[in-house]
This record gives sequence, C-alpha cells and structure tokens, in this order.
Amino acid sequence: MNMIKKISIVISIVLGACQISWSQNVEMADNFRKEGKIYVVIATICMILVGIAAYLLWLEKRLNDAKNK
Amino acid sequence: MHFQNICFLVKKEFDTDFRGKNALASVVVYSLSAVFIAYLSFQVKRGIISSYTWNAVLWLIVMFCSINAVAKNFAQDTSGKLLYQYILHRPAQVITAKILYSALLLQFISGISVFFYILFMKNPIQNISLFAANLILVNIGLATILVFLSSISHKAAGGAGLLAILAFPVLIPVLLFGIKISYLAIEGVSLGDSLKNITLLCSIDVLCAALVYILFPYLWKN
Amino acid sequence: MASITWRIVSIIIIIYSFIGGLMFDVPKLPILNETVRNLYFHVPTWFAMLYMLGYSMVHSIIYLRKNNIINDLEADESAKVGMLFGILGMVTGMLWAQYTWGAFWSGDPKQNASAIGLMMYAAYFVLRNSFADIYLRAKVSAVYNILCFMILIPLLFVLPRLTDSLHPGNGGNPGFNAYDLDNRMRLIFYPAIVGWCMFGMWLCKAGIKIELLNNEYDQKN
Repeated sequence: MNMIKKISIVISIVLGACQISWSQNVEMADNFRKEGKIYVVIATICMILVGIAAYLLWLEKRLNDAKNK
Repeated sequence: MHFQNICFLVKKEFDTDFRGKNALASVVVYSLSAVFIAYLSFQVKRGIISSYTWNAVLWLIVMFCSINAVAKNFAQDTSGKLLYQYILHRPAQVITAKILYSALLLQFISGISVFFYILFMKNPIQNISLFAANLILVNIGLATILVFLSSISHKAAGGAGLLAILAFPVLIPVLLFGIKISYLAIEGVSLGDSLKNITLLCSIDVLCAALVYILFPYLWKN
Repeated sequence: MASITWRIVSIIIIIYSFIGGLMFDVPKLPILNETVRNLYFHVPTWFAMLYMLGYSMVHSIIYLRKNNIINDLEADESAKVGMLFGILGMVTGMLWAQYTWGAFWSGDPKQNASAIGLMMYAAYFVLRNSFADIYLRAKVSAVYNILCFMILIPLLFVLPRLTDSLHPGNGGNPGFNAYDLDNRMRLIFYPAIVGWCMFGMWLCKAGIKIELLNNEYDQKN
C-alpha cells in the first residue's frame, strides 16, 4: 500500500514537472533541430533494426519448419 | 608433352563442336538476328544514335552471343566423355584446352557480330587497333569465366539459364573495362593514353585465370 | 558460458555505439551536418558484411580441404548474414546519399560495385538451391563462393579508386582520415564495427543450429 502511494506521488510530481515545462512557450525541435538532418540518422537506425527483425522472423520461420518436420 | 596434350584437347573440342554443321550456323544466325533486331529497334537513319548507345548495344550483343556459344559447347559434354577425360588428362590441361578453344570461338563470334553491327549501324570507331586489342582481351576474360561457370552449372544440371544467372555479375568487371576502352577507341584515343585501362583489363584477366586454375581441380574430382 | 559472454559483449558494444553515436560531439561539416553520425551506423554494416563474407569464404576453403559438411553450413549461414548486412548497407546508404549527394542512386562506382556484389551472392543462393545432393552442393557452391569473394574485393576496393567517386578515399576525394575521422569518432566507429561483426556471428550461429536440426532429421529418415 505504502509502495503504491510512493509511486503515485512520484508520478504526479513528474507529470506536474512536465506540465510546467510544456506550458512554457519554448522552441522545441522546430524545423527538426534546425535542419541538422538528424532524422536521416534516426531513419538509418530504424532501418537497421527493421532489417534485423525481418532476419529474425525468417530464422524463426525456418526453426518452425525444422520443428514441424 | 603438356603442350601436345593441350593441342590435342583443343582439336578434340573443335571436332565435337563442328561435327554437326549447324553448330557454326546457329551461332552466326544468333548474332545476325541480334544485330538486326538492334538495327530495326533503333530505325537507324545514319548518325542518329550517339556513340554511347552504339557502344552499349554492341557489348550487350557480344555478351549474349558469348554466353550462348559457351553454354552450347558445354551442353555437349556427356558425363561419359568427362569421365574419359578425367582418366586420361590432368584438370589443368582440360581447363586450359577448353579456355583456349572458347577464346578462339569467342574471337570468331564477336568478330562476326562486330562485322554485322558495323555493316548495319555504320562505323564510328576511330582507333581500330585499340578496339581490336580490347576485343581480344575481353574475349579471353569472358572465355575464362564462362568456361569455368558453365562447368559449375553443368554440375548443377541447371543448363543455360543457371549459367546466365551465375555469369552476369561475375562478368561485369571484365565488361566494365571492355566497354570503357571500346568507348576510348571510338573517341580515337591512342593506345598509349589508354594503357592504364588496358593494363587493368589484363590484370583482371590474369586474376580470373589464376582463380580458375586454383579452383577447377576441386570441381573436377568426384 | 563463453558463448553467452561474447553475445552479451556484442550487444553492450552496439548499445555503446548507439549512445555514443547519437550523443557525443562530432565534427561540424557543411552538407553532412548531423548525418556524419551515420558513420557509426551505415559504415559498420559494410564492414560486418565483408567480415561475414570473408568468414564464409574461409569456411568454403576449409570445406574443400577437409570435406566436412559443417564448414559448408558455416559458409552458407555467414553468407546469408553477410547478404543481410549488405542489403542494410545498401538501403541506408541510399537514404544517406539522398540527403547529401542529392539522389538515392547517383551511379557512384562504389554503389554500383556493391550492387554487383549483392547480385553475385544472390546467384550463390540460386546455385545452392539447384542441387539435390548435399555433398555436391557443398563442393560446387564452395568453389563459386571463393570466386565471388575474390572478384568482390577488387571490385569494392581497387576499381572505385581508379575512377571518380563520391565516397571518401576514392578517386579525387581524400580519405575520411584527412579531415573528419578524428580520434573522438574513432572511439565509437571502431567498436561499432567490432560489435556488429560479433552480432553477425551470433545470427550466423543461430542459423547453423537450425540447419543442424534439419540435418539431424534428414539423417534419421
């Protein structure tokens, strides 16, 4: 019970902090970091992860085929 | 002794290929119809296509004719004949003979193709000797790779289709230089100025030949 | 235990390269901007591909000497993983090229050469699928694999240097070292390469286990 209370207090503090920072009119990620093209790097990382995931799916399919024989 | 053996094997290859008269005729008809299709599809009013296009289409035709010719050569080798050769000769001798024969055959075929091509599509080549030297070197490279790969596809019982799939990517380095030098020849660059490219083409030929000599014995024995 | 250790080490190195690659300082270069960080993500995929394909070729050579079918499985699986990294390198490289060179495909010699390389290995897999006898398949595909790798190396490393290339270190362009691969970048770039190579080995070993399962079944029946 005590634990839940503590956690809820922490969460409310974090949310409150976020609320304060969101409400201020701060320049955030405008023009996606001022056209530093960081999104290219993000897309590259995502592509690599998607590729590996696809390879894992294929491996799993092969494993299932081997098991079902 | 070795040399005599190789000569004997080359002659043997020649005999088997030309026993049927239609072998030669089919190759000639193949290249003639390829050239004619190119001619018709361009509707050449003289001088309309650029030398880039002229060059590209010529090399496509030469490449397809070569693959076709070498594939036909290997399709005639029955396993019985291969076994017979296996007992009598060393793999290095057999592959040398096959490469020599195929190189000669390809010189002939590409010569015919270029002749027909120039006949129909005019002749923009300014440095003929460079062009001829290039053609000879490229044909040696093509013969080396194609003979080796067709022995692979023969093992796989895949026929000409598999040979084409295996050969296209491996042929590209040789063809790249062939196309480049042939363009230089069309532009009229002298032999000395294109020496760097010629040397590179030769070194690719040598690399391929060395690989084939090292690898073929493994393929040969059962 | 050791087998678990190096797998975890590979993941730790990759995570390090992700964190360092996204957060540490990088040289400020025009046109490249932040995409210079792709050095930590795009370039290691090529190194991992070369490592896996080289590993594949070594096992093909061992197969031809020893005729042990396990070497054929190693060669096959590592070539598959090499192909995966090759495709990833190709796709991510095309994206990077779009934002720095201005086109997905700009006919750069190195781009063309790597496309040819992928075609060669695609042909290798086609060849593998056209056999019924696994020993014949192992022998013939080992021979083709060695040929492919030996042609791939001059294609990737010699020919692009002789013609004008957009890649650094080729043609008229100076190497990365000359202006922007400073020591801070090396600190992440080299570990990233090692991490991805180890990760590739992990994928390879997983595939081998599956194939062994298949073989076990085939031998029983």
